Amino acid sequence: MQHVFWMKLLNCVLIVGILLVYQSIQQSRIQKETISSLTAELEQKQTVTTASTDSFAASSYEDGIYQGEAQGYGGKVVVELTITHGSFTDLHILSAEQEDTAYLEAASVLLETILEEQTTDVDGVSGATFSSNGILHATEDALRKAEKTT
Amino acid sequence: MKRIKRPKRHAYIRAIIQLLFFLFFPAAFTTAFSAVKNIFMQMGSGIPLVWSTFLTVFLSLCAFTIVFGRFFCGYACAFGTLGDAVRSLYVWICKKCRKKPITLKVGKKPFYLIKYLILLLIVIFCFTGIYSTWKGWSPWDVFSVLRAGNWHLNGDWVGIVLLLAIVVGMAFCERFFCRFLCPLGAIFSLLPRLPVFSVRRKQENCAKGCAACQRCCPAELTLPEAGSGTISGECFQCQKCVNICPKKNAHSGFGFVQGNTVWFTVLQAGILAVVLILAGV
Repeated sequence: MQHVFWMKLLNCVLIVGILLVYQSIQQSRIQKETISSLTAELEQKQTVTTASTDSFAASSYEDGIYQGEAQGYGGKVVVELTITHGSFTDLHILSAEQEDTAYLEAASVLLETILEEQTTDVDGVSGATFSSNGILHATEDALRKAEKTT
Repeated sequence: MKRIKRPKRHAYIRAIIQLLFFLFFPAAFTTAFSAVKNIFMQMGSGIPLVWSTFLTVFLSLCAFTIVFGRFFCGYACAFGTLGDAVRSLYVWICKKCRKKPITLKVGKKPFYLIKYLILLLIVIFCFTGIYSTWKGWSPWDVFSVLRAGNWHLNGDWVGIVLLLAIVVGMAFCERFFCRFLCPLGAIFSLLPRLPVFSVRRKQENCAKGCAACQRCCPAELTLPEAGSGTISGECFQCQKCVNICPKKNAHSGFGFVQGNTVWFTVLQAGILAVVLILAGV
């Protein structure tokens, strides 16, 4: 019957509407949060006079470019990690042929997170667990090669 | 002679299309369903929704389904293809052993509602965050990982057991998973569908006492009357009924665009393939 079609259509429109409302609420909330955190940062900078605490913690990694590999979703994931002055400066995927594009794309966020946090102790991307683990374990593998042998 | 030929020819074409999709788009169903899981996980943890390839794939499949019906389920889904393969293999073995294959029929019992319950549960689990702690439970994930040639399954034994149980079900009941358990199928059935390509018949033209369409239907559906606009959400466009009808009374499409013709089936598959490629599978 025709009215079933319109009912279903109405439901779909409703669902999309709810999602859009949710999205706009979340975005305005995040906007407010960034504004408040930025103002807080600004105030902090004004009160605290620079006290540089750049103590070069002796890194346990040798500088260089390292490759690491691990099992991902469908096969090997190979990453290349660059370490300069003891910290991670570049990390990218060399090959991940058997990975599914959508999952790998989702998991690739981890590359930046690892660089930011300077550790592989980060949470995997939910919904793309296998590819996430592939990237994390491959990076750990590269790190093992980079460890200083003292 | 002609009457036997038509369903056979269509069965071969369908098998070829299914095989090609199985080889080239094996992860389409998990990718599409991941979008739904992600939306609810993100809402559950109170963060804004993120546009991803998952979502593009999901939405384009929904759009395709609204126009063409559940063609994806019938011809392109890797899990559906697995079901058909298991069933054919079982029937073939029975034939070789000269035994009658067991075919479970549920008739009008509302088992098909289970998939909506499963969808609801998955959605709730994603929203509350329980889902991500249940690693290795999903038989879908286990299957897609196995299909990708990755045999490093550790700790996924719940998923493996579920997958095996589903495969057994698939052998005894055609499209067992799709009809009763598939959460993505549940979403597709809930979508509004344009009545253009839905299968229908004029019952007054039917041969008396003939129920060939009903008997060959993998979903045990009764064809709706032409002009009523009724579309069963359970129909996944396999076109078996259209092919088997001795009076060519069951039909889908309009004019010369008939759902069961070779060129249109191939065209539909082609459109779907293009849609999936554009969406980024």
